[in-house]
Amino acid sequence: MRNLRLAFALILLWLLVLGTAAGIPWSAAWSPRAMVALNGQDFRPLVGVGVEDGTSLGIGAVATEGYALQTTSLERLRAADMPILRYHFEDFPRTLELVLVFRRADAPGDVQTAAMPWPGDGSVVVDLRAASKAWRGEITELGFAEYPTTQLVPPSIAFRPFRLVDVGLQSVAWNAAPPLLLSGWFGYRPWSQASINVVAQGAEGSASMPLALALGGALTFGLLAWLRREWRARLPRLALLVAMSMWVALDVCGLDDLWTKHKLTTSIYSGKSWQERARLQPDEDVAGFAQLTRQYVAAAGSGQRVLVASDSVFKMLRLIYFLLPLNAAPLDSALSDVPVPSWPADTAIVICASKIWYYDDATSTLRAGAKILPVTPLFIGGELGVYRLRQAAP
Amino acid sequence: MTTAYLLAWFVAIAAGTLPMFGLSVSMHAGRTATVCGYGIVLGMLLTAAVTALTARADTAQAWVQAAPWLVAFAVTATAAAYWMQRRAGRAAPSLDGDDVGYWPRLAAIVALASLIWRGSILASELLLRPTFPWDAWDAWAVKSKTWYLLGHYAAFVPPAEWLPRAGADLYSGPAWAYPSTVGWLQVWFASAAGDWIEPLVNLPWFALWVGLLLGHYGQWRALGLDRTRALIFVYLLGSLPLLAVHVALAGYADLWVATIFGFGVLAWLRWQEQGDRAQLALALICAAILPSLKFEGMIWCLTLVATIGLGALPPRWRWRSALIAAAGLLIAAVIGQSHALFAAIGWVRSGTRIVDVPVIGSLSLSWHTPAAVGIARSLFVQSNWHLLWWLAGPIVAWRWRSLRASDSLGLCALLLLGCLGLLVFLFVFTDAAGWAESYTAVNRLVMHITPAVVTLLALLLREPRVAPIPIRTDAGPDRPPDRA
Repeated sequence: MRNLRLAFALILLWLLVLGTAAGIPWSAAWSPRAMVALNGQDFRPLVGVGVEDGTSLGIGAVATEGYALQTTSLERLRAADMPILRYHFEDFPRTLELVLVFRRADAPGDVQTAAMPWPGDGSVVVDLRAASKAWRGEITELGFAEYPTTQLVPPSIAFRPFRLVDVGLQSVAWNAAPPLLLSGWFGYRPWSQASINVVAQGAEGSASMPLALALGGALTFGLLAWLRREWRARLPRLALLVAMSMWVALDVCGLDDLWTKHKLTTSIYSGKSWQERARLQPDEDVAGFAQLTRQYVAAAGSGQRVLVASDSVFKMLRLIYFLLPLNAAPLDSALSDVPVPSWPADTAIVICASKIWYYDDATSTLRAGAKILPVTPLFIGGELGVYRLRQAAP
Repeated sequence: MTTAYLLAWFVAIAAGTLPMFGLSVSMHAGRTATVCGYGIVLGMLLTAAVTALTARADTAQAWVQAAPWLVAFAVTATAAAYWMQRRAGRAAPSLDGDDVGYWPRLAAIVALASLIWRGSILASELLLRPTFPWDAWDAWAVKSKTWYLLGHYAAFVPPAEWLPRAGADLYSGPAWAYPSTVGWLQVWFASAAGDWIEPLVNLPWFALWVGLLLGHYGQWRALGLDRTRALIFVYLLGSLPLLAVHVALAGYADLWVATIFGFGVLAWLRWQEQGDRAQLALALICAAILPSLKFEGMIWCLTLVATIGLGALPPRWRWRSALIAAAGLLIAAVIGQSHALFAAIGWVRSGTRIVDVPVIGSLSLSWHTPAAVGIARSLFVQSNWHLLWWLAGPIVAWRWRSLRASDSLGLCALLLLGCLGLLVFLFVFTDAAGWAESYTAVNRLVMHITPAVVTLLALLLREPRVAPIPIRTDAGPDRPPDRA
C-alpha cells in the first residue's frame, strides 16, 4: 500500500512537472476541443515544383532561388484557439531546414515566419505560442518553406524530393504534452554558428529541460524524504541518487542531440576524400569567389595587399580565409586606419556581394557613400568585382 | 592518414608523456592516467612551442624541422625529471583498494561506456567536417593556415602598420594580436599531413578532450577518490555539453584554457595536500602556459599564481597579505586615473566608473540587469552544463565542514569564487554585459573554470578514510598536509 501511494504520488508529481514544462495549463481539457486537419494535397506549391501524390503533396524540386514554399488558405482561424501545430513529412532530407510561414488578417502584406524542428519521417508537434510571438490574431494563410540549412549545408547537394503528408492545428490539451515535450527536448536542431557559445537542443522556444529536471528532481527528493521515513537517515545518498538520475536523463537527451547532428555531417561528408569535402563548403559561392579572385591578383608572397569588402561580414571574413595565404584584410579597417594615399600602388580590392560598394564606370571609381577609391577594374561579374587601386600621380 | 602524420602524433605525445613518467616515479593511484592525460596535452603544447622556435623558416616541413629538437628535449627532460625525483627519494604512497558496492561499480562502467560512445561520435564528427565555427577560421586558424601555405613565418601586425609597408612580409587581420600557440600546433600537424587538411589539423582538440579526462581521473585518484567515484566524476566532466561542442566544432582556444587551468589547479592541490614539489612545478608550468593560449589566460594565470602564493604562506600571513594586496588595488582604483601595473596585460587604468584594460578595451562601470539574467540562464536554464551549477551550491553547503576543515579545498574554493566573481563583475558591471546578454562569450569564459569546479565538487565528495598519504615531509607548506 505504501509503495502504491509512493508510486501514485511520483506519477502525479511528474505529470505536473512535465505538463507545466510542456506549457499546458492545468485547466486544459484532456483532448482538444477544436481541431483543423489538412492533407498535403490541400497545399499549393508557390515556389519549387510540387505534385499531388494521393492525399500528400510531393515536392520534387526547389526553385532557382534555392528553396521551396507550399501554402494553403485558411478561413480566418483564431490563432489563440489553435496554438498546437502538428506536421508530418516523409523522406524530408536532413540537409534542409523547415520554416513555418503564415499570414495574419491584420497584416495581409506581411509574411510571418518561425523556424520549426526538423520533421524527420514522423509527426512533430510544436506549441506556436512559444515558437513565434507573431502567432496571434486571425490566420489567413499557412504554409511551409524549405531551405538548405544555413551556413552548414552546401546548397548544391541540399535538396532531395520529399512529401508533405498532413498538417493539424488544435487547441491546447493535455494529450499534446508528450509529443510537445518529445519535439521540444529531443527535436533535431542543426549546428549553427551560435553552437560554440550556447548549447541549443530541441525546438526553439521550448521549455528548459535542465530547469524542469532540476525542479522535478528537487520535488522528487522532497517527496521521497517525506513519504519514506526510513530513508531520512540517508538523505545525502538519496539526493545524489536523484541528482544522478536527472543528470543521466539530460545526458541521454544530449547524446541523442549530438548523434542526430552527426548524422547530418555523415550524410554530407562521409565516404569522400578531403579534396571533395573541401569543395563541399556550406558557402560554396564564396569559395568560388576566392578561386576567381586568385586569377586576377598576384601570387602569395608577392607583397601585394588585398582588401576585401562585402555587405555581409560573414562573407567578407570567409572570403579572406579562403584567399589565404594571399595577404588579405578587411577594406573597412584599412580605410579607417590608413589614409588612401599611403596605400601601396598595386593594392587589390575585392568587392563581394555588396550593394553598398559599387563601381562607377564614368569616373572609374569604387564608391560607398562618401568613400571614393580610384580603381582599375580587373574583373566584374555577378556578385564579384576585383580591382586594382589607381594612385594619383605624385 | 599518412605514416608521417601518425609519426607526428607519436612524437608529440611521447614528448609530453615521457617527461611526465620521469616526474611520477612514485606509484600513486591513477599514475598512468595522470601521466597520459598531462602528457598528451603538455606534449602537444610543447610541440607547438618547439615548432614556433625551430620551424619558422620552413613551415611546410615544420614537423621535420622541429621533431629532432622535440625528441632531444623530451629525452633530456625525462632524464632530468627522473633523476630529480629519484634524488627526492620519496616513498610511494598507496591507496586502499575500492570497496564499493555492485551498483556504483555498474554505474561507473555504464558511465565509461557512455564516454566512449560520445568520444567516438566526437572523433567522427571532427574527422569529417571542414573547420566550422566562426572564430576558428576567422581568428585562430588564420595565422597557421597562412604560415603553412606560405611556407614560412610572417609577422601579423595592426592594419595601420601593415598597409603602408608594402615590401615587408607582414600580414594583418581582425585577430592579428591573438596568441599563436594553438596555431603553431596546427602548423605541425598540417606539415605532417602534407596539406592543409582541416580535420587532421583540428584532431588535437579530440586528443585534448581525452587528455583532459585522463588527467583529471588520474589526479582525482591521486587525491584520494576511489576508482568508482573518479570514473563517475570523469563521466560528469566528459558529459558536459559545451565541452563536447568545443571538440566536435574544433578550432577555439577555450577548451585548451579550461584544460590547462584545471590541470594547474589539480597539480597545485596535490602539492598542497601531499607536498610533492614536482606537482608544484607542474602547477606553475600550467599557470605560465595560460597567457600563451588566450588573452583571458593571463587573468586565470594571475589568480592561480596568487592562490599558489597564498597557499605557500603560513596561514597567519595569508589574510594579512591578501588584505594588503586588496587595499593596494582599492587605493589605486579610488584615486582615479591612477595606474595599476598588471604584469603582461599592461597598464590597467581606472577612473570614475571606467576601467581600461588593454586586452579588453575601455569598460564603463554600471549595473546591467539583462546580463545578470543572461548569466543565470546560461548556468541554470540552457543545456550547456546539465545540472552542474544546480548541484554546486547544495554540495558545497552539504560538505561545508569538510571545506572549512581542509586548507587546500578552502583555498581552491576561494580561487574559484574569485574567478566567478571576476566573470560576474565583467559581465554584470561593465560594457562586456552584451556578451552575456547575447550569450556569445559568457559560457566560453565560464567553461575555463568548469573542470576546476568539478574537481572541487569531486574532492568534497571523496571518502575521508581514503584520503591520500602525504609523500614528502621535508619541505613545503609549514603545516600538516590535509586529510579532508
